[in-house]
Amino acid sequence: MGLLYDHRVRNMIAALSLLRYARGDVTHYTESLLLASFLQSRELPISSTALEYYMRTTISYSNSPQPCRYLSAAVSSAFNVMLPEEQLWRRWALLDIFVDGFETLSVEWRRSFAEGFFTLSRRPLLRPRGDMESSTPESELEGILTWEYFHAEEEEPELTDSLFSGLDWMAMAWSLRLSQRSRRNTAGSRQRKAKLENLIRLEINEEFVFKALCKLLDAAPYYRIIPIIPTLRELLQWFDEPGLPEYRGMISTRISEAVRRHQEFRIHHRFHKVHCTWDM
Amino acid sequence: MIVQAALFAAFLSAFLIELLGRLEPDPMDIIQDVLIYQTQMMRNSSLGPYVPAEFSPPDHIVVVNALFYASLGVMILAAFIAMLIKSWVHEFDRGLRAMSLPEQRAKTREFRYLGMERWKLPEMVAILPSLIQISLLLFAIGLVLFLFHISKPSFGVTTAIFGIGVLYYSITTSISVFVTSSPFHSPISRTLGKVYRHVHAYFCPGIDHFLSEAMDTVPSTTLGRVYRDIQVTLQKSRPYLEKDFVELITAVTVDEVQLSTAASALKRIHDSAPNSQHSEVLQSSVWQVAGGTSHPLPPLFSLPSWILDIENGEEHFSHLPPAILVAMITISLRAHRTNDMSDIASGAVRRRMTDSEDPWTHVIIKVPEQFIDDPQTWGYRYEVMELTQTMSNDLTAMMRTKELHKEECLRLLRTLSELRSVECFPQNKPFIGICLPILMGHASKWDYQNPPDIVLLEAVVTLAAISCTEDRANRLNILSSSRDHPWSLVNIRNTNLIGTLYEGTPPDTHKQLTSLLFLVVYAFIYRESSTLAVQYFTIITAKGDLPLYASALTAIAPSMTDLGLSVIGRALVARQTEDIISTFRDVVPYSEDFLLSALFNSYDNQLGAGENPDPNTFAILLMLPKRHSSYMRARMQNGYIELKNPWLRLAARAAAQLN
Repeated sequence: MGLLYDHRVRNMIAALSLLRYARGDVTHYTESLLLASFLQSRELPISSTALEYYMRTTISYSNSPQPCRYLSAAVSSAFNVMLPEEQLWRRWALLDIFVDGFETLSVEWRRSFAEGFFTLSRRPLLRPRGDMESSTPESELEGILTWEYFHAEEEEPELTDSLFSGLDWMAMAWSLRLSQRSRRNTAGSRQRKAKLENLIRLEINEEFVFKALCKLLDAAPYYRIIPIIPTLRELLQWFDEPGLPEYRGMISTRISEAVRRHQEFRIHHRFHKVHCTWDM
Repeated sequence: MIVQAALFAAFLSAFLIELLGRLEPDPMDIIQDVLIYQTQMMRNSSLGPYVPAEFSPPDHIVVVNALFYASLGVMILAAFIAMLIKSWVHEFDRGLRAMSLPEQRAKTREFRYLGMERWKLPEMVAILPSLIQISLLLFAIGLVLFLFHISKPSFGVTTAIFGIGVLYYSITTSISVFVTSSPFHSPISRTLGKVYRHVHAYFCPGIDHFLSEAMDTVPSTTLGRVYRDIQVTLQKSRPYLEKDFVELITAVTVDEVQLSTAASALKRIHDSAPNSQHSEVLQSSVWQVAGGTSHPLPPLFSLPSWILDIENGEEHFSHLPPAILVAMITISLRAHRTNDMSDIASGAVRRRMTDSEDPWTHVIIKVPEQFIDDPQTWGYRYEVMELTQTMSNDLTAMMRTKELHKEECLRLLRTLSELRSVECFPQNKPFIGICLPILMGHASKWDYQNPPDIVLLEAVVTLAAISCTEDRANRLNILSSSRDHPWSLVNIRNTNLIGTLYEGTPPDTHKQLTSLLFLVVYAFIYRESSTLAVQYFTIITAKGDLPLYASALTAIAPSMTDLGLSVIGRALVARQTEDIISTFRDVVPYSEDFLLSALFNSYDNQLGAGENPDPNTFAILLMLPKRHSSYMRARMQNGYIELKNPWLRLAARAAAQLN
């Protein structure tokens, strides 16, 4: 077996390369191709860190390049409902980058990201490695640069029984946010809240969630939206009814448009089917 | 003493009466001279009055007399001192019996005893026989000298008899000087022994000298080799124990002394009163010594068969501690007395042993399972004992979870070496698997401040060598050379022996063996013994199978420091012997940065542009820069562009943290 096929070595190269990003040593994002190649890794610390900096790199370009073909898969595995609390929380930062750089990103890029987010799929169950709760991207990457990792036998990732999309992650992450709000104001809860806020230095509120949803729905093709409409409606019910009417309107419009296009497609498909049968 | 002195004085007086007259002029000679003079005067009247000739006794008579008087004087002195001491001893007991209270009597006696000790009365008593011996010697010399001038035949016979006596005395005294256990000790021999020990200690290098890295290599000159041989011979003939080496030498000696003393006493009591309570207590003490975990070396003796022939054996053995039971089985194993083991390790006794956390107990508990009671022959059939892979794995797992002390490791290694050497365990495979975790457990603590324990390394190499040697005589030779003089480290310093290890090892164990030997090389790095490290490394990598070596190296990498890993990694990809030598020789603390860039360049030269790197070697290249310094980063930034191999360039770029 050559080196190219040795997943351990590939992941160790990726971890070593990404460490400088995780440590904050990189200020100019230029390694788009290198970061894109790391997106295919099965190791979540690598794919999620690579995704974050791949997005930052893409946004930093004046002309947004074509998306990498592993982007959807990386987004899909990053927004995993099965993540531990802190990692779940850190994914807001990815969404924030997407929302911030939305206008800069090319249509294909946005579409690929949104497709990955809304795709319903079985998500990988994480293998516990070290202290998952208190880990940082740097410590997770360093966990790959160890002899224990190198000597461990490769295991096929276990997948969840049910299908999940990024919306399920969003629901879970938002419920975490709500639980932080509703908890009693004890020293422990204050500390925990501060810790979560320090993780991403971002104010997570209804407006941000709605804004992100709007952008994602705007970028996603209609056929990705149709399967998640029930979940989306359920999620929207969590938010206060009168608040943010403009975003609610945009979301409803996007859903309606998706439904309409889906019906058009079905009519067209049925017509095409009848036409073909007639010809035969 | 006084009677002997009186008898000897009387005997000597006879000689002195005879010789005393010879110191004065003989009256008969004077009369004879006068008569002769008168006769001459009658012939010639012109002669003047008679003037007697001046008398001077012969020199030998003076000397003989002096010697005899000296002898008499010393003897009288001895008698005088003996009388004095006798009176002092009487004084010691004075009034003791009159004291009615035992406590008062004991205190008074102790008070006087302390005074006697303080004023060296026992030493004074010990001088008395020496005084008599001196007196006898003076007399013998005087007599021989006297007879020499009187009669040659008498002189010859007497000299021969005295010569035999002197020779006998010299031999017994010399033996007591050199051999501590001899019964010929005397104050003179003790004094001579002290002098000899001081002289020996002055010329003989200490144990530390033999354990130092300076002794790892054989001297290149003939003079140096001769000097080394003299040093080794002096050390082997050392008549004293060295404090620094107490755990290796004293323990063995004390162990043997205690065991032989206890076993001998046990035999006497057992013969006189079989199954007595004393016998059991003493027997227990024998096994406590034999099974004591504090002794780094296993007991080196076999007890006679009667010691295990106990009625209700299982009940008896079930009361003994596990360590003693282990010692009993070990000794039975060594003596191939397998039927004893079935008694010892049955039922409740086994369960008791299983509760022990001692790894060696877990090995030994498995052994009796190899013996099957055969009712057809009313005896026990000897099955080949196997330290099976499962047992080895259990043991290895236990060693990984439980941090074994050095003494425990040494005991385990040496006992396994001994049992393997006498074919108690014919299979050689699992032993390397046991050596490896032991050494890995210790290797993680090695650095320049805590250099590796060379005695432990010697024990590991000895077990590995014994396990890989098919010939029984060779195995015994390897064991005995290390066990008899552990300070000489003969096996770890014998690179020819290391060269034969691969021949006796199955191919599927080569990786483990290579890992083990790499750990020894790693130890040599921190021991600063570069010559031996190069020799070992050359032997290990003789076949040039880089993937195997890299895989073996990464297997032990978790226990190694970056420095050790980079030195061995660099040597692995070095193209020339000079590079290997300089890699080991020029190791200095914190030289990982230099070594890493050298590792990249050497491996790049070896691979060229087209070949894929070996995953294990590549993993080393990726692991080392994890804790890199800014200096190394600068080196890598400058040097990575020159690399031809794209994979290495990628790794170097990641290591250099280039954007």
